[in-house]
Amino acid sequence: MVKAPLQRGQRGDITQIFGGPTAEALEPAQRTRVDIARAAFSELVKLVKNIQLYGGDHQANAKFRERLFDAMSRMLDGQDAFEIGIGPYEFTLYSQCIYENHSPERNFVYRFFMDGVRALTFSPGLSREELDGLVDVLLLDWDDPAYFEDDVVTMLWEKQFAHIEHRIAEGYDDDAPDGEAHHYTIEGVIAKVRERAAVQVAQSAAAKHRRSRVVHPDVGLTDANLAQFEEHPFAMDEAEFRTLGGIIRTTGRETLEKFIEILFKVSADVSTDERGARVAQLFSRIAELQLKGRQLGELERLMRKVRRLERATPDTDLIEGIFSAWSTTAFVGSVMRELNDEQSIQTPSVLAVLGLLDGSLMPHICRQIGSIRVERNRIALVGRLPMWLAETETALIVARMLNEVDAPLAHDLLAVFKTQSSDVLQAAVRAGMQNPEAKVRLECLASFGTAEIQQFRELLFRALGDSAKTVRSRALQALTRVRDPKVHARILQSIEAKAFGSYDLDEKRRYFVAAALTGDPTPQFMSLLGETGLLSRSRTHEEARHCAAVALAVRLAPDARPLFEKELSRRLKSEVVHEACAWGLGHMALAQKARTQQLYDLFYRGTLAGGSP
Amino acid sequence: MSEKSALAGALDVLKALDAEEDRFEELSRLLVSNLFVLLRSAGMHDLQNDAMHRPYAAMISTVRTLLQFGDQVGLGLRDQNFFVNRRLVKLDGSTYQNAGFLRRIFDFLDINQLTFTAELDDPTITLLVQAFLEVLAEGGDSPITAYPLGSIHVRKLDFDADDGRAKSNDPRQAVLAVYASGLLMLRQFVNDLRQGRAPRHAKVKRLCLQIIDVEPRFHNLLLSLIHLEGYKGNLFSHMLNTAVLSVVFGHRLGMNKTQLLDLGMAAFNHDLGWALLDTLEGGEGAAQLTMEGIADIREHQPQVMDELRVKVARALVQLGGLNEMVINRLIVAYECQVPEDARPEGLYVADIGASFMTEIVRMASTYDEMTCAKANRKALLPDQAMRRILDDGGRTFDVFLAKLFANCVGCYPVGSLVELDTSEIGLVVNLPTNPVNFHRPQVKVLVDRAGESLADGPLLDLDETLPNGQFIRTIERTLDSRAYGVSITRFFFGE
Repeated sequence: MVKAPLQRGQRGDITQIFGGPTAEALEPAQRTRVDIARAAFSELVKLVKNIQLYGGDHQANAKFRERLFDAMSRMLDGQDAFEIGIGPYEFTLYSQCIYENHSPERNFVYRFFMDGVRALTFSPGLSREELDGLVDVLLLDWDDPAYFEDDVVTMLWEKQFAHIEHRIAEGYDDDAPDGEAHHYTIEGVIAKVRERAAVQVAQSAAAKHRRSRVVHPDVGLTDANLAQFEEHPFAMDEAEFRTLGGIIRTTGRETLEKFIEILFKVSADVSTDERGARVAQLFSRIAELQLKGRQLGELERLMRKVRRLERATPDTDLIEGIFSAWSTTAFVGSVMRELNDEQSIQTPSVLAVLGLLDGSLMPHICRQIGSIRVERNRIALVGRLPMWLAETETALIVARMLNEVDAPLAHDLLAVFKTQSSDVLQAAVRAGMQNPEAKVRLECLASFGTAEIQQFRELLFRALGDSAKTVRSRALQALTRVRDPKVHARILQSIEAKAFGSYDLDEKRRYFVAAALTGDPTPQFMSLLGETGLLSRSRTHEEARHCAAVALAVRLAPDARPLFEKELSRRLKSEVVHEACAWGLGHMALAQKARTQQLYDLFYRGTLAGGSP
Repeated sequence: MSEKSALAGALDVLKALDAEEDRFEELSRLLVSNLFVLLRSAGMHDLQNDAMHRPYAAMISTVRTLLQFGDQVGLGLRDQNFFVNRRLVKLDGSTYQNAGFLRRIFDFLDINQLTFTAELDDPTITLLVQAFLEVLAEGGDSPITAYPLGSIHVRKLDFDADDGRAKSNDPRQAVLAVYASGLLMLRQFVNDLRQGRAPRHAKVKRLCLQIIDVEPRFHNLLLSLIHLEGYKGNLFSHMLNTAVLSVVFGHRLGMNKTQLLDLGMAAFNHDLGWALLDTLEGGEGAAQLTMEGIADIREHQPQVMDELRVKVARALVQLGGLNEMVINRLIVAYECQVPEDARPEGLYVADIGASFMTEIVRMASTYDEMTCAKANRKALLPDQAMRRILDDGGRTFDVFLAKLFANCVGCYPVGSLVELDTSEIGLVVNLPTNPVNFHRPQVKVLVDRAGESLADGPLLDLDETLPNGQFIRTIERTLDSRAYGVSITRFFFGE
């Protein structure tokens, strides 16, 4: 190792002498290996950085992993195992640095070194999975409390690598500080192990007559004895094996239940908020792990168990704390994600879990229904809503969401609210009428019957001015059923409104008929129908006359008949007025049943059916 | 003094202890660095040169301060790592390179131990550096050990022979190393817990891994150490013995390594909660925590057992962390806190029985406790303890598992002294080769038919039969090894 010892009396820098081998001193094959190792570790660094920045699933990871594995495979190709030395900040091969990082923060080299790992040996046969496993250890989040009793050595052991070995620096007397009695040092223990036993002579008379049987003082196991020892595996017969399997299965199934119960007992007499928060955090973590593993059934069991403990513990605050910690929108999102898996058979558990959560989450749960693509799951979930929304307070909160949900969801929710108190339905309809989707507003108007029209009268009035024709029509249809001067007046007011001019003819006609059915506008409409001056013959005016004619016919106004006939006999006739008057004469001549059918067509189909008698 | 200020006072003491530990580590690093700087400076400058003042002073100061921690300061090199007073020097970035140089210097000088037996002075340091320069000048031909260095001793120690824990081919050394270091480490662990210091959890897990990694054919060696006197009866020893028995049993049952780790850690922790309780005499970590003290509470205070069970569990929960293994061991610890002769039943609101691991750990724990002397009774012999478990009849243990336990560990466990029907006397040294005949272990003959003591008697497998199917030898009765002057551990590990 020493290249040029100093001559006696000579002075010089001994770091030149004890500096260790340089790259020049290496064999060519070793140098090649060092170069490949550097390349391999640069890929490792890229991989590690990429995972830290973008997570383990990032697409670029596969490329870096591939390159890392290729480089490591090349190092082992047709060659012996090689050992990577580990310093506090560097990995070395043949004493040459192949990777260094001088930061103690998030530095896996430093972590390996501080945990006592001094070398990693890679052997031929190294698999991709093993290398990935090593990368997992390098990237471990040591701040995770789950690893509180782990270090690099335990994690490497757990990986059970077949082609990666590690060498560790033992802290020989790390645990026997100076000043301890000799008894508690390694030498002390070993001395105790090897101590001769004092013969405790048997005192009985029989013993006295027995031959001397004190054993030879140096008797002990010999190397030859040791060589004879073999492992003789224990064997059970079929029945024993089944019994053992049964015990393991049955006793293992209850682990979670036991843990929860213990945890509650442990925390029962501690009422501080901090402890409550810690327990809640613990349960959140359990649930998180279960969700990660898609163990919805286990999660359901966990939640039910906690709920059941309400009977066994006086500390209901603790239980509520746990449920509130679970009751987050993120949690709901994770649970409901399962409902989008066509193959999943965990829907009942998902529904049970959602049902166990705090009622305040119902708006969020309901909102998420819209994102469920698997129809049967959506139906199943909606089927639970009546039960979940049974409480008026919760139902009211969800009802108020109707101003924003989409039409299918509004449909589902309204179906539920129809079965609940009128307060809830009213709240839902009022909110729904603010929804930007006309379909929703229409659905809202369709959700109550004739008996409730008076309650919703003001809302219906406003709906008469809705931007959507379907909504206005629906409101009109509803209002038409009420014989009320105010309704009549409001309809007339709508007819007078500026926007009315832009409506289609069929809709205008409906308004006029509705006015005729809710009050008596005969004089007004007679006058309108009679306004025949050439100058006033605009399309709007003609349509108004058309509507007035139809409305007068619906009212069976006898004074209108001459006007109709006159209109039909005109030489310069307006087609649209002509059509209405012809229909009016026909209508007035029909029996009631037929007239009713025509009204139906007029309102619901928008047509003037059977125009001629 | 208020409770709060008392607690603050206690914490100050603990902080001081931690600070002392940190200081030692720092000084250890300084010693390595300063020694290298001294030798490097001596290589470059005349010893009278002013440039030597600082390295001299640094060495004198460092050694003087380190001597406050013990009678002498030993700098050892082992497996490429430096140790000061047998404690690993935890190098940092600034000392790592210097340590590399110093390691090569030690190799060149062919030494692995440099001890300062007294405070240094300039002449003594000069002796060291002059000797170093002369050896260097001669290319290492004249050993530095031949130079008189005053209070400085340089040596090449045979560590393998020194502490018997070498990585030699003798499996006994490896097993002894695991057990001895494990025993001390667990003692430290328990003490740290009791004194409120942060325990080194990873070390316990590492110990468990080491036990699992012991070659199964040498499990008998591990089992023999359960009978090591002098420590038995303390919580730390009980933790280790229970884990050893559990892991050996679990391995025989066919559990895989991960399951064994789970089981071993549960065994370590099953009574650990007691280390954090103040109910024992002495409390506050003052007294050695003994299993007898714990058993007394279990036996005489059944009315408070429910409360204690919760306290023990709470203590474990306070240790922190959460994963599946922690949950399993918490359950085992909880279920183990029942009166000695009772089944762990009725502990939960629901009708749930004890877990499989609890059953194993309880049997292992009971076996260890029964083979330990108490104030009012002698320790049971290994076979007597096993007989108690086997004949329990379901009162304390699951009948089926108790039978399996005896089958696996042997009706006559390792360490039993037995008299054969040939009137030979032998010590059970290994588990039965045929599990069906679990009362036929492997025995080393200590006294022959003629009553003569043998220094190296034959190793017999009692399952061997004559051509007619008759067994050649059968155990007639067991004897008390103490009455025959047999130290079980010395027998297995004697020099």
